[in-house]
Amino acid sequence: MDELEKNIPDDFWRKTFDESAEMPPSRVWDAIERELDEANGPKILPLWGSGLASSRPFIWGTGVAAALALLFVGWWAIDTPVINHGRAVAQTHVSGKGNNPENVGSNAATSTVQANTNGQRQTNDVNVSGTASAEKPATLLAGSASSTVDRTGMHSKGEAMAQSMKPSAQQRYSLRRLATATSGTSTSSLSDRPATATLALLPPDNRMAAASYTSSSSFGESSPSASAVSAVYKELLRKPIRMRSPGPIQRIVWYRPADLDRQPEMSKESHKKREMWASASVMPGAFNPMVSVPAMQTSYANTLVANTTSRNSSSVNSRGSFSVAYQAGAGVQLTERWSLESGIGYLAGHSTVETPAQSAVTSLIQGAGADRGTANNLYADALKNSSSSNLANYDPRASAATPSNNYAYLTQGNNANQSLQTLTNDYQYVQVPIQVGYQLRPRKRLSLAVLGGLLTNIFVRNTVGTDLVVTAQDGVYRPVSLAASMGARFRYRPSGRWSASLAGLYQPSLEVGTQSNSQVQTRPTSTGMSFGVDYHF
Amino acid sequence: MQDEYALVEGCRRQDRIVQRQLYERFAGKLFVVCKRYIKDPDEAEDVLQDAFVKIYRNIDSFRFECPLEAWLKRIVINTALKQLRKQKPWENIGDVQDLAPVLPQADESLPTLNYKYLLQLIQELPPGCRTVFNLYAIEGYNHPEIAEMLDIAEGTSKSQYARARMLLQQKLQSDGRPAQGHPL
Repeated sequence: MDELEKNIPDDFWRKTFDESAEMPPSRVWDAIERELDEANGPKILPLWGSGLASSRPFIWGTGVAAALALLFVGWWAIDTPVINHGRAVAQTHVSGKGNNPENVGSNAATSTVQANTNGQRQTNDVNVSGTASAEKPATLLAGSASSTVDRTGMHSKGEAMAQSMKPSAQQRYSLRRLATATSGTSTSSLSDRPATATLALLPPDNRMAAASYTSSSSFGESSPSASAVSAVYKELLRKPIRMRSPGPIQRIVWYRPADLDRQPEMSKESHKKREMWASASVMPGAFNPMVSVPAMQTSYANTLVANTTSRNSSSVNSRGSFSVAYQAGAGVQLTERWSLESGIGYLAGHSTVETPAQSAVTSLIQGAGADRGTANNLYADALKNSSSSNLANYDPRASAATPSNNYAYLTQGNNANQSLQTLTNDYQYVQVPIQVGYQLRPRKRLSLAVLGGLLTNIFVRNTVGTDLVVTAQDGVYRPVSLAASMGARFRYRPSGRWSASLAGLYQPSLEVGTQSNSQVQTRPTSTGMSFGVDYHF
Repeated sequence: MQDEYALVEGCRRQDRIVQRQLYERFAGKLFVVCKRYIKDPDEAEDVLQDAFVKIYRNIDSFRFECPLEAWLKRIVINTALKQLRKQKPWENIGDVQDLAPVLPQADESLPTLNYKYLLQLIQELPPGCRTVFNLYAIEGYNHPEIAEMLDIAEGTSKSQYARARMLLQQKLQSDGRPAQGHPL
């Protein structure tokens, strides 16, 4: 074991094999060379393979990068507006008489030539312009600018303008192109103009501004009103489109896409989709019509007994009973806290009315019904008397009431036969609520809102007892009456679409529900708990 | 050394002529190394081919911190071991304790034997024994290093080596060559 542990390399074996060599077949080198040639061949994006190329993160990373690159290129291609490079250099200040904005603004080089020509005093510039070829616009600009500034003695002004005028990016770009294209030859062609070198040292921005100012000063000399300076923007002449022959990329033009039109935040918010919902609810509660018959204002033409009533409104009392209101509505969330809701509903309001029953004195009766000796009640007769159609559907024989037109009322105190009668009084309304909600707990799963608004009650019918039915056509009740609606609502919204609501509402009437000439007055009031289900869009 | 530097630089430039020179200079020795580990000649050629491709592709990582031949040899051995790992020939080998009593003692007297005969002896060893014997007796790695290289227990490496020696001794005796005096 010790011998094994020591690991003394056996010199015999090592020396034997160190000295040994056996040249492999030539096909081995051929295979190696072939493999090396393949490795030196055109590179292929290793989307699969061995090693790093086969690693999943590398593959995913490559794919994501490629996708992002494609998206960027697509966005760039779509959102990039067509940039008019010809608009760049044409910022030229012109003034005075005889200037021609079209000629001046058409091209930077052209403007200089025009200025010199129109000015008729810059003979050197004209010559220079004439000698300068169209291929050297920047040189022409620079030379013209410098000479003009020197001669007019407005050097300080020119500098100020050159510093203050900031051409746009496109202008800088175009001028830089022009200046770059003529570098070298342009300097030599105008080497006899000392000011040119000075101007050439200016940065491209100032160079452009100085060039622009050249035209201004040239015109200014020919016009005494040189102080009036106006800006003229004129597009450069566009070059015809010429398809480039395929070949290697010679120049890469970088430009910045135009800024996207940004809308103000307020308008964005207004375009934000408002949350809406539809709801269906049922509100069990109590409905009290608050009936009163304030006074006997009608004359009973056919009454044989003088009406000696001096009743007050407390003689007729109504009590609320179980009622149910059904409502289908919709709402919209105006802001985070405010909402507007509306809908349509149906109220089946049940109540009871205690009214003095009237006994007819049969001996005084003349006419139909005298043989029955039936009792009448103040409320029913007041309704009938208020009706424009005299409630043709009212059958006194069936209702055990007596037509009031033919009977006398013996009110309490002057007739012992009079007693209180309790009648059911069922109202039916179609309701159109419009209410505003204010969220006390916005964006909560369990929200709480305070509700308030108006409730339009459209009268449908009132059934007194089992037989007396007063409809809207009878003219007793207002077809439409307003009521207030106020309350609070809990809304539990377990999911994004559905929610359940529990609301407590109090809806007092804002006006009398009967016509002004009616002997009956009602101010219906309902109170209840509303259970609803909402679907949010 | 200057010659090796030129070879390496030429290979870094991917000069095919220099690459061929490097191949012709070291391929013989490295091919024998391959054959010591890989019994099958074709497979040994494949290992040599793969090793040279690796050499050319990773020549930039050679920093002249060791002799070029040692660096090349290490790559060839690693390539051969990678090939052998696919077969796991060193698994299911008993512990060295079982074979220790029969191990012969090494003898420093070295008779001269043809390398081809020795290579044949080595190739006839089982793959596991052959690998450990090559690494231990010829390359000079110790058992902990071998155990790490082959991802085996150190005892397994020892037992493989002991078994290799025993088999070689038996082979020598069967060939009529006395075990005494041989480096086993």
